[in-house]
Amino acid sequence: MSDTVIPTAELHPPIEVPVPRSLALGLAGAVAFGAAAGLGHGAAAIVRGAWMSPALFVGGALLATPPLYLASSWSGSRATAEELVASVADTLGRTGVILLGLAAPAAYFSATLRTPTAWALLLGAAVTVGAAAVRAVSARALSDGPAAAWAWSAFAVALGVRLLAALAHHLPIAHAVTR
Amino acid sequence: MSADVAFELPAVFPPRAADAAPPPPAVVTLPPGAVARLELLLRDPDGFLGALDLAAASPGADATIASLTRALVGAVVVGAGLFGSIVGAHRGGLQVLYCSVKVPLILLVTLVVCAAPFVAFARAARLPLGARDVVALALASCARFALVLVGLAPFVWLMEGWSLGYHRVILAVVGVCLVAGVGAGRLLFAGLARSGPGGTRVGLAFVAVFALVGAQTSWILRPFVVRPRTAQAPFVRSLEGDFLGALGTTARSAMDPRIDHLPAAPRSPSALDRRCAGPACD
Repeated sequence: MSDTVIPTAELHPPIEVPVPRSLALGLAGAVAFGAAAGLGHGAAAIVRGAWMSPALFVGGALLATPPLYLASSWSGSRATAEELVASVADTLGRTGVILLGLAAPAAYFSATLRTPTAWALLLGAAVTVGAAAVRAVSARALSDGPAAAWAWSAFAVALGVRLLAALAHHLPIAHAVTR
Repeated sequence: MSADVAFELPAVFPPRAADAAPPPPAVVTLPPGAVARLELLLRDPDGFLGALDLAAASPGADATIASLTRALVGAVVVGAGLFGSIVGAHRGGLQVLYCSVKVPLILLVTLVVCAAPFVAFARAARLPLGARDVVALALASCARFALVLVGLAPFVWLMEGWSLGYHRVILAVVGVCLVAGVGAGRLLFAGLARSGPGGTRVGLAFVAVFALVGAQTSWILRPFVVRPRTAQAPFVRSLEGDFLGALGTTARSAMDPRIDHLPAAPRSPSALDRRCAGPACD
């Protein structure tokens, strides 16, 4: 992928973030968050969390990008595919920074909370961060067509729910709660 | 006296506020002395933030910020410690000491765990705040929280004195913490709003994470409010249950007036209770 830089809108001060760096940040943040969430449940749970969290966040971003391009083109936007990918990568990078920061509380809760609330809390955090990312992408990439923005957001949320359901069988914390 | 006498108001009255030019905003500087700084933090959050900006931009900023940090940490330790001692007074004895240590620990441990997400939220929202600024703002909010707790500690003491029962005292403590949280949030949101339009959203994320981690930390460090008849209260209990479940139980119990007035279960007779008979009793 080229070293495209995008001027991030509505920012103060404006910062230009290269796409590979954004992707690496997104991946690192997701891995850190997943590993931290499994910290209180043994090495196997750490490994599971370390691959499942990127599968959810980075995989979700990959799967939602082609429909985003279609929605963008159908809504009359002139953004090129490269610009859209850069926009998604930037949002993924910011999501990664947030997940990196949330790794500390995730480890803390993983080590100290052993009730079904832990499962709800982890799910709540993942859903909130994912929804904020979807909102950020749709606001930036589909600002010309509100209908397309709603349609794509609904699709992205459904995609996230599907991914979560597929990954739920492997969630380490679910085993700990039912134990 | 004739009715058409014209009265003229003397010119000594000042013009109405609407006609007068708005006064220039007062520039507040950070006062010398820890007590004066904490008073400014409590009474005028906007003035405190402005003074902090001025201090950070002035020569010798590092020394000023360092002394302010010491004052803020001191306010957290002393203020929350005093509040903790009042909470522990419901049981009395060692519990007073335990709580005066544990309540400041809640704030400090929560602050340490939340520092990374706070910085991450500010970075992700691209607020022009460095890690030091974010941590300073969070610490100042914690200090304001502790100062409000001290201010409301007599209310908790009053509730304990009225013998309203264990569950209602817990609800009073939670209510006082909520009020203190509003006071701390006022400073936090004001500080973040100065940084840009995304400040309020970042503040909401701060508050959500801080409330969750704080609730969990307080759960780990329980017990705080202990029934006076409890024979021995441990420093901390084992890891079981969670804060939200316990709060729900307490709220249900507080609504049920029978809970605190149930007759105590008959205890098994001890050696002292047994009727003494025989020469050994002499």
